[in-house]
Amino acid sequence: MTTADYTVRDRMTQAGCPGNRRTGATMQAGQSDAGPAAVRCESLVRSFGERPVIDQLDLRIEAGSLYGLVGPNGAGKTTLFRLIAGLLEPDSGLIEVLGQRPGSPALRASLGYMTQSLALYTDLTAAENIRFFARLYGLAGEALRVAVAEVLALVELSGRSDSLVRELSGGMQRRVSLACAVVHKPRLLLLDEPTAGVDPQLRATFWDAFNTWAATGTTLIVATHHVEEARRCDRLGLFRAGRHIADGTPDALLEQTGTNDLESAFVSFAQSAETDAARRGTPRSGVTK
Amino acid sequence: MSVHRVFTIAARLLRQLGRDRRAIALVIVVPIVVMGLLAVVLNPGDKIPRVALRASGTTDLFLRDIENRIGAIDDEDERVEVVVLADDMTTEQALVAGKVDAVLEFPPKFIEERVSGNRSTMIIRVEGSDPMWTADIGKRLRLALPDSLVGLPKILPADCASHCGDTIPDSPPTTDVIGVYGEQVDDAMDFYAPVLPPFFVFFFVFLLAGLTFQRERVSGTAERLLASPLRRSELVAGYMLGFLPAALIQATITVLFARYALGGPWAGWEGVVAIGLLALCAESAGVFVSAFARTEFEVIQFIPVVILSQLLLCGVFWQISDLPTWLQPASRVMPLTYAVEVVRDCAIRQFGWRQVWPDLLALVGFTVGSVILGALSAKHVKA
Repeated sequence: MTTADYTVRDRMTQAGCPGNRRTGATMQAGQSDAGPAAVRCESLVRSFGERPVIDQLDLRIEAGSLYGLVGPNGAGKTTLFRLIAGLLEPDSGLIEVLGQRPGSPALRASLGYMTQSLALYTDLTAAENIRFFARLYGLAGEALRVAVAEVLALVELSGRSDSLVRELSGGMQRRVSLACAVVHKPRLLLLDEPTAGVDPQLRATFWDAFNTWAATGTTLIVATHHVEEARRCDRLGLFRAGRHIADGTPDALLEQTGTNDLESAFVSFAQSAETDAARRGTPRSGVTK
Repeated sequence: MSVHRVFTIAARLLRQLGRDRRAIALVIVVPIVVMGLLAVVLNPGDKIPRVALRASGTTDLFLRDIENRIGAIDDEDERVEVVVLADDMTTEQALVAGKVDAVLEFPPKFIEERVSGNRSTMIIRVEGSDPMWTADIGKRLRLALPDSLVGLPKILPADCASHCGDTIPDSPPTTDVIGVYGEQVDDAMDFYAPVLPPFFVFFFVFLLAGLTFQRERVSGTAERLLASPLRRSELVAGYMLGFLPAALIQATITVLFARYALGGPWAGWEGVVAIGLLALCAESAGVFVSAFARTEFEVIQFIPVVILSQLLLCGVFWQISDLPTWLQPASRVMPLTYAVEVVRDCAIRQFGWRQVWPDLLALVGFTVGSVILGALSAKHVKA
């Protein structure tokens, strides 16, 4: 399957095309449009030991979109992020990010990465953490000061900027972590479980910010296992046990499965994938929900 | 390589270090406490050594005079108990049987050499199985003898003209302590004090750098750093730069403490430079080990390999030349060996830049090599 296949397949999915099969990995389609891709994967494989964590992944994420990676723990979301960020090398297949090879210095300057863990220096203040990461991206002087102030205001932490991170609440720490990832205004933002452990009100604030950034041209890829909050993404990729089992807009996914909520839709796609795999004689491991 | 990013890493480390009281304690307070404890432990205490005097070619009168002079000393640091050995007991028998702790021997030509103005040497024979006790005996006799021997009655040969007594020097003779170290060594602590700073600096800088580098991975910041434009070599260079001031401060403080608080001999600025270079090696070793360790505990597991092997083979406890031949090359590929050599040479043998430059050059080589190794190993740093 080529990248082009996915673009058209996505259109079909979006349109609720009856010809689509529900197991994304086996969906077939015709020709591609030529829109810019932020991330492009073809037959991507990455294993740890004998276990493939990313298994023959074909994926195309459009530039300027808010794309949700949805799946349970162990689905391969974080591994995909690490492949995109150049922290891992693929075993086989192709991966291209913003038209470049992952890990190249130029590309890393365009990337923002909020990891699943806090990834902060808890003995530094919120502002010191943000300033440190901003400097690594080349910000200095007045530009640095303005960028740090802006991002602190954005995550509503201007009043706590001089507090040590270890003295902040869990939710505030997540906000500092997000601020560190976006302070240099990246073109592509990878957010790994950004709302884990965050209260519903703050979660809504986060998603408002994600939508705003996407609207201004930033590509966001958000990994989450909170299926319902992923509804706010432009498109969703459903992952399970290293397989990309479906892809489409939230509405299209609901329509295809005839369900009312994304969680049920995910279960439906997962069961179909399981059935397909059993038919092919390659049972997949992993949880269904 | 971006200097801006290297300095950013270094500045962050310094800021973190400045706020980490335990790390500051590890760098400064702990070595001082441990060195102070060692000084107490290595101090032999108030035991007064029993010393016998023996001589050939001199008169009994001469020996009795010196016995009286030494026996009359009441200074705590110099006091010895003079005992008289039976004539039929050899010196070795007396020492092995524990009849005496030391025998002060005047060689046959002691008087003649002294009269002729040549260097005259006394020998202090000891049992020697306890180096600290041996060193204490040597120290006491060294302190006691000059005072006792200056102003000895001038014993003139029978054929000496009346004026020949003028050529006899008043200065005391030198002493050779069999089994005890160089002339600067007054006690065991003096022997160990100069080599403690290099060891502590290596140990604590290795631990600090290794664990801090490892903490980047455990806390997830390594993942964020490696996804940024920061190169791995810049990360390692930043660590080098960030820990260097701490290492130099620690080197200076421990050397000064060994000199002034413990009263050991001064290792000189050559020693401080050697320890500074050693600290850079320790940083690289910490980063190197950390790159291959998955947890902080695994960094700790490297201590026996990296630290203890160097401590045992660097010549602190026994001379490298006394090691088995097959083991000697191992000590020659360890930076601690060279730093200890520089510090000991400068402190005990009073060497200077001219004599220790080969060892310093070796340390520079180790530093460059280990920095390259550290940078290469950083490729193995996983997020």
